[in-house]
Amino acid sequence: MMEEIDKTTENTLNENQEVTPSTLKVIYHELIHDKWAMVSLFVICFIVLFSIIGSFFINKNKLLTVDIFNNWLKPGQNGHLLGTDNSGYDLFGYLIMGARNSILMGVALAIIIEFFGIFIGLVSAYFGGWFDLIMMRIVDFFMILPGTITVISIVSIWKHYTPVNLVLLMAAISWMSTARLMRSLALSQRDRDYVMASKTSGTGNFTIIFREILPNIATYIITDFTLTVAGMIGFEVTLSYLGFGLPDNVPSLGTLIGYASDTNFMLNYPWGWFPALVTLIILTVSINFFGQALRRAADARQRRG
Amino acid sequence: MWKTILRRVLLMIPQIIILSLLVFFLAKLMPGDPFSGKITPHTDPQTIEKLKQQLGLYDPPLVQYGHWVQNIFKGDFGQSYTYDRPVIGLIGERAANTLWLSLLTTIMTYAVAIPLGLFAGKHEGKWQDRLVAFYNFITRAVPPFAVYLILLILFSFILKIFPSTGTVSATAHGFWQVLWSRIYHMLLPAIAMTLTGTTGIVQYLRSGIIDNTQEDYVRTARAKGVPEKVIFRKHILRNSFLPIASSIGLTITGLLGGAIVAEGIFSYPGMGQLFLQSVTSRDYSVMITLTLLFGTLTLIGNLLSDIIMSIVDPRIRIQ
Repeated sequence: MMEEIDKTTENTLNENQEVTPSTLKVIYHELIHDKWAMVSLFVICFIVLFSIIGSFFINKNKLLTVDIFNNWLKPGQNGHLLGTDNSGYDLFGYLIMGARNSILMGVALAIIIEFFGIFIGLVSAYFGGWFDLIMMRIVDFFMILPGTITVISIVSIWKHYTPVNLVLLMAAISWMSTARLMRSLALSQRDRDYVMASKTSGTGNFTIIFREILPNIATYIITDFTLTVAGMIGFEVTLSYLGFGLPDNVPSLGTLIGYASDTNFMLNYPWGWFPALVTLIILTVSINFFGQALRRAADARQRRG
Repeated sequence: MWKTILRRVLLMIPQIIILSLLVFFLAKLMPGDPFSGKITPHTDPQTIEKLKQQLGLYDPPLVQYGHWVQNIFKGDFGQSYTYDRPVIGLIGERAANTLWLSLLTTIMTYAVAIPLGLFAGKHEGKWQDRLVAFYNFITRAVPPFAVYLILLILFSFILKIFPSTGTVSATAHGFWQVLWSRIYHMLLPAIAMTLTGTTGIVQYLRSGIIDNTQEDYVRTARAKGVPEKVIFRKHILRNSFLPIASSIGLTITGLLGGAIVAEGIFSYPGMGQLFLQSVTSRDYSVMITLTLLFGTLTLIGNLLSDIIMSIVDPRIRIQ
């Protein structure tokens, strides 16, 4: 039954020159032949699974116990795979926890941003009029806020904020571009025949928006989500590096890379920051690469065949 | 067109008011009196009460806001207690440094991005295009601060080509030496910010050229027998530069955001570094003024962007 439906959709796609890649199957077929996209996906999965599964085996209290007599051990000494840092923390464990936290932050942020962006963008585009006008003015206002500065200012006077507070704060200044993108995508769908037909046959507005328009732009949403994750990981790590990101008792890749901001540590103890920097770069580059492959697959004009 | 610009400028007034209210609200959350900088963490507890009365901290919020705005128009942003001097002079000095750095970065960004975009657009689909795409991908995918850090470690500490702090070396004398010393100190941060800032411009230009090549007027020109060089220069290039022209305003906005991270990493004494220092040392009056300033500059950048857009592209008019 499913296959039959797929066949008919493919047939109609071939008949009408207006191609909107509406099935995730199309993307899947594109990606499975894209060797490098598969490699980057494998790298992403490896880092994510390694850090998440690895974090279950780490005793957090033991990890964050200050052991001043064993600080700055070289990699491989006393069973510390990547050595220890200034407080004697095991850097291998710290790296796993840091990578896990940074990834979770990035994913949580992207989920919130997409959720809000999709809702606001789609509803604005569909209803138009005064609702759209007000929404877009709000987006404009958030756009003019100097984002990084706002976050740093608020975090610096906020005593004992939690990672959840930070996620909400960062999402509050990062959702606008996604909302704009979703609005423009929905605008391109709004006046199509299928929407008109649905309206005429009496389907409710929200059913049309989320059951009919949404699936038609799903590929773009997945692409935007992927790239947002990469961007947000970068944002969180930057903040943590500057000392205004995750709280002190929560490891982040940025905290580790922060050792490079002290010239002495940077030059004499490179194992403190180097692995974290390499992990960050490999992770963001892979996610971006995969995101671009998704974009190519979703865009009919860029298909490779 | 003038109507559009005027309307757009008028739109800025409510934006600035909302921005200032937000900054004011943020400042009220800070301990002491961030507007004057007179009550700091070091103020002796007995005098605080007296000072609070004097500074009008018991007035209704709206009255306080009014006072603050009045002082801003007088150019009085309070005292910095870290530097023990008026905030406005302090920021003025640092702003000059950031301005020079931004200017150099802007020039370099366009000097790098325009040739790359042209190159890629002209050779669409060939190896040249792929090479530019690869450069674009890398500079986009690696988080900016990681790019800055790698460049700093490589060029300042390992190869020791560039200085890692400061603006002018003490040994420089005479106009040319000072000028060179300034540029030399700015070069590494400028290169770094250029690398992370070219992506958008290159892509706009590339797709602009590719799209314009398929336009009807290009085909018409070809049919008339206009030489290829003239077609490229007159028809394709001119139209491809439209989005680039409007990107100048957004480039400025992007530079401001980038300046905080870049100046922090390269220890360049501009506004961004001052902001980070003021946050760390709890110098609230400086922090508040800089937040307001960065917000205002972001507004102006967006305004410029829209104005340039409405001049070069008559199709765009604010509804």
